[in-house]
Amino acid sequence: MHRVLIGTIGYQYLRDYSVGPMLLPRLQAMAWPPGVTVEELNWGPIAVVQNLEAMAEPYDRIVLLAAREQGRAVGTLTLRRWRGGLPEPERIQDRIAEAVTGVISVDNLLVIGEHFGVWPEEVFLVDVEPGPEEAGTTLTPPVEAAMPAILETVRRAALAEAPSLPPMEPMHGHLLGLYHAN
Amino acid sequence: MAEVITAPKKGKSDKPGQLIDMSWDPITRIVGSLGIYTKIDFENKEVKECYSTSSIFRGYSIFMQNKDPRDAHFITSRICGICGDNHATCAVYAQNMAFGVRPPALAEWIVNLGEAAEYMFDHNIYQDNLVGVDFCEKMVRETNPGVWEKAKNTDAPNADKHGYKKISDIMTALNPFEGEFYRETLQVSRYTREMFCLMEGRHVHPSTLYPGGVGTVPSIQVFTDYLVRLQRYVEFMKRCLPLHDDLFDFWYDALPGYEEVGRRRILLGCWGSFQDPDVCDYRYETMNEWGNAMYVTPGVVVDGELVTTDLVDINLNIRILLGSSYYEDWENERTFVTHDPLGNPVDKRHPWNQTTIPKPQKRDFNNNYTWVMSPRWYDQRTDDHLALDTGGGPIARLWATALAGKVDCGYLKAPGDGTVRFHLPKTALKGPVDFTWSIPKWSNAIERHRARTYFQVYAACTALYFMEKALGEVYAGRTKTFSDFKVPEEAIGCGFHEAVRGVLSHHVVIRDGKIANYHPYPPTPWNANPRDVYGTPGPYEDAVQGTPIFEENGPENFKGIDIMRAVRSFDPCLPCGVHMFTGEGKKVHEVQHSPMFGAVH
Repeated sequence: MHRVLIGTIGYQYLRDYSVGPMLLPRLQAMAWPPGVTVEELNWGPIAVVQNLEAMAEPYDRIVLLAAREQGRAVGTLTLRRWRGGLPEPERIQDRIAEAVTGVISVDNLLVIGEHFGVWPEEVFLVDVEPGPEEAGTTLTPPVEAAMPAILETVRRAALAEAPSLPPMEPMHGHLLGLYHAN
Repeated sequence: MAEVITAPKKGKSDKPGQLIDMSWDPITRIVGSLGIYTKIDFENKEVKECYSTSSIFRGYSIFMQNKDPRDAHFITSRICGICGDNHATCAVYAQNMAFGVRPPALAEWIVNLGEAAEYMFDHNIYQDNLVGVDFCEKMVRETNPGVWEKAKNTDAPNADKHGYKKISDIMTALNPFEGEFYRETLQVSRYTREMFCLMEGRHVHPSTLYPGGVGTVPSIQVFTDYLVRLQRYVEFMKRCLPLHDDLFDFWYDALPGYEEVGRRRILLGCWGSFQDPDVCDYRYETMNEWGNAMYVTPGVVVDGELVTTDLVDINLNIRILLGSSYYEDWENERTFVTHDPLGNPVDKRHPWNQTTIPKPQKRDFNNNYTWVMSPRWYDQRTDDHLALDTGGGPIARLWATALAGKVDCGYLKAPGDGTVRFHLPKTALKGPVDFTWSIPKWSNAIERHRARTYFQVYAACTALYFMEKALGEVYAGRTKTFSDFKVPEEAIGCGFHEAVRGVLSHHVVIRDGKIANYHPYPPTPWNANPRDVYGTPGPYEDAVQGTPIFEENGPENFKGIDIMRAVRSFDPCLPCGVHMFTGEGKKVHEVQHSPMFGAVH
């Protein structure tokens, strides 16, 4: 059985920055074939790493959903593929320091997971360009409008054979900036 | 041969010295991000001024309005990605009071076991996977090579207990990724988190914690699984505590005068932790009694004197001052609570009556510069609004408990002589061990760090006791874990707890069956707040101002490690930014600080 983990990442109540947690119930309510797990992954990269290490049967694919500020138009959706690579050790420890002090960041999760070698071959990231960072329980209109596309992209990323997926932007740990990817 | 390192001379010159601009990262990438701006006199090796800022408004008090009071613990748990369970627990305490419900004893023991596991987990990972890096070989070689040389020639007094012969061996073991102890503590975080999950379902947002009790199934196996892990932790602490004592004692020896780093007046607050279900009925009218029965005694310590342990007293004297924050005053807004259930007047600046009115504006260090208000504790004896700090949690908890002398649960005793005494029983590979924490001379960076390790032992000792009590309930057949309740139309409640890094309170006002007002006050606002209306700086500001600089690097390679140790000693909930300004002096260059190895040009 093909085992897939879909994980949402992001703070609560931060409008577009919370797109992951806000869509979690929708994703959980979707019909998935056996082997697909949908989970919140906000509980810390170290804990995520240790849970993945402890699994008797590892996942074949992991699909992450998060908002990331990348300078695109608000609501823009990008499908990326994690290609490994690590920043220098000082930067990895920076990210562990943040993880230890409660920062929720998909970049940190990817780097820390890579350092500890827990990722399967296929790790995909569906990332959404958020609007301004502000408190609230609603999405901005562009992200709201993108919701069906986000859900469909996650669904395809989880279920489709890799070759049939649309072209994916590669992501490398050593190219992630301290503040933003790219 | 070890280099002789002299203490920095304070007040050597009034002339502006060589000055430097620095920034500690990350500062803007996180919710509620913290920044600390300082003016440093480089020639005289002293931080002259410090301002603490938070650049993002959160506004949970606004989210909570009109919500169902039963949801308070679920929502407020999300305030923090690392101490969410502390918020959930504190919210449940406030709910229990407002709903008039008393959980069964077994539920309280389960909550206590969960919270003890949280202390064990969080203090462990923070201390040795983050603070430890500030004291590791790589950091010390970069910032104080003279100290490294001395460490190589210094025997570790407790080598027989922890296995590291020299102090330098301890430092090497703390190196990130490669260090033996660093890696071991990373694994400790795993089974302590599992302990938490056994009791509260999920970490860090509990899934089995509710007002009126818990949904945890109290099987023998759940408790046994917890106990097996607890025994491993107890054995680990028998090595961990002597290791840290050796390291911190060495620091005073290697750097005379280091007690001044992060030192401030002894102004400590502790709101108490671990309820005793035999006493705690959650009624406000009896809050003094059940507060004093807590297994961490609540207290306010001023200049070494225990001013009060009465939670009613603590509650009524909390004042939220606007300070230098971006908010409008609420003087003309609704007063929700005029008197507490005992008939005492409740101040307009008390959390029950606070109204959050954000007023975004430009940061101005001469006026308003942060989203954090200034919580203060009003000392009726002196008419002062005290800027209490939590010292990162453990030092305040230990200090208040040691002075109060009320806790005795077999594995842990505070006899009232200024100590807390611990007894760790025999474990798989080690015999029984006793430790004693004594009130230190100072409230400073090193003692805050040291207290953290001792409180890890404290949490383990209480957990051993709670385990016996919980199993006693199960063996007696009293396995009910929740009590029924109804949400009243009108009620008030307050919860007092200790988040990992210090005081935590939740205040709720219920009107028409909904939340009319809700104010959580976690430790970071107490520690990271700005100058208040009286000009009194907040604790970070106060602790960093006057901190001497021991780092051996000159301005070109300056890392600011002493300031980072001072800031980190408060266990800031969020990664912290520190900026250094030249004041009116000349800007030399700008340095970005990495939380690991310091500056990156």
